[in-house]
Amino acid sequence: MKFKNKTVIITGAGQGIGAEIAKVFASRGANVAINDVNQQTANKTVEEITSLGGNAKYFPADVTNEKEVNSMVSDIVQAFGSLDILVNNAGIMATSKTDELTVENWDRTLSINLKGTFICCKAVLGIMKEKKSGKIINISSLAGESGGITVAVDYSASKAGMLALTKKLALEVAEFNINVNAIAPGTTKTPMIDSMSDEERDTLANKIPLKRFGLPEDIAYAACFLASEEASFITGATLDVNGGLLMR
Amino acid sequence: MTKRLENKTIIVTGSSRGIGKACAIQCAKNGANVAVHGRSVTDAFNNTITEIEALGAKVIGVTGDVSCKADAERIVKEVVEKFGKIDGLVNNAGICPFANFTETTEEEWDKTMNVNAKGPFLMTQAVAKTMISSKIAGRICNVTSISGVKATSPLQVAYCSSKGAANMLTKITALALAEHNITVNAILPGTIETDINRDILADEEITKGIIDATPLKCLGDTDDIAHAVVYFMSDESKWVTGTLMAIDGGFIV
Repeated sequence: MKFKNKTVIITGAGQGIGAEIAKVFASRGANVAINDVNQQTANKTVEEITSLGGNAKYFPADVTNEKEVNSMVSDIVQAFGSLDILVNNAGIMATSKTDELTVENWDRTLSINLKGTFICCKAVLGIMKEKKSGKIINISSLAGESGGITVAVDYSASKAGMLALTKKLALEVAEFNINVNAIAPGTTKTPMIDSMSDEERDTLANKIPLKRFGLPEDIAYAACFLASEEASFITGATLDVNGGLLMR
Repeated sequence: MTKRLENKTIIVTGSSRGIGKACAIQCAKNGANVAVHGRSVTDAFNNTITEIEALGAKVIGVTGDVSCKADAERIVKEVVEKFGKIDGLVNNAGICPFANFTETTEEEWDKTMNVNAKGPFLMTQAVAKTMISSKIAGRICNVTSISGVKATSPLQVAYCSSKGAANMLTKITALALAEHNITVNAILPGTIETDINRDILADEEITKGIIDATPLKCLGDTDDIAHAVVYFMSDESKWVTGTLMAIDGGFIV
């Protein structure tokens, strides 16, 4: 049980990649703090974990609200005794073309995806610095490196911002033995992909060298790898998990 | 301990010592059958095999020059004869000569490119052929270097160039082998103290300089690389290919 006695917070853990990350950590012994603005889906994830004997609890907070996030972190430390790993996964995505993208949409995307990451990182630094140990994993995107395929520019910009934040924060907190890394997932199987026509879906999949979309578990395993004690010499790095679609 | 490489057969080139040895041991601990490779039979080579046997793992020792096609093919043949298949290859064998640029000889350049770039090419080719014919969704991991993406030291012109080549080899073979579900990735170690650089690191000023420039303020350990190799050899990384993963304490950030 690699993560026994470790507490991990995952934002946006109600569904998709976040939920899978939560389940895999839980299956490896972690105490999992499920954060999401959607109480229904978050509780579903909690239920799925606890029904398998895992340890998970729901901690609501809007990642763009500093007060709520600080309060959440406090609650998590109280509930689980400590805090070891933060996975910044909460994010929204849209596919509008730029001339249709509203300023409101831009602000909202940047707020949740990038500001939310900043707020959560800031909120956990106190305890991680005190312990002189911690792991922060930012779930960015291939779109943050190359612009992306189907996504809107606000998403690409927010995900690129997460990569720069990852590097700078890694440099800043290295002296406290805190590792900060990012994962850049490629096109992962999600409801959005499922809702495409067969033709659209096949065209997209064919662009990927491994000829298939990623699964949430591919990202979850990468997160577990980076969060492990054995990855303590890795910091400021971005792990591309994309089936070969983008090779930097 | 969960065995993540149960029943997998993995070759680790240059595994008598250093990073390669650590990789071979971690693969063995995770349930793999391991082929330990060295240029020739030495005490270190034999000791590594003994250590792995003591872990209860199945192991074979193979020798040869990875930059020689006949040797690469023979190595692969011997492993297949013993274990029936190959599931993973860790191209770790490498040399790291230091010389002033204007004094770097043609022989040093050729030797460095041969071991560090041609070797991985030949071994990948030989292993991939068996994976393709056995329809194995195999794993290849190249232990290259941060020196393949960053101009680290002017005393390492041949070394840096060879590692740059090995990084591109990683990406292009990932592309070439994707249709066979074979993944190819590279680990880029920062400074890990082993026999390859022990003499250089004996100079305290040099070591201090490297540590000062490393955000985590330390050198790496061979296990830092070995554990990442286990991830890249395992089913967990099945959708990761063409990736260059720096394990360097933040040196190249």
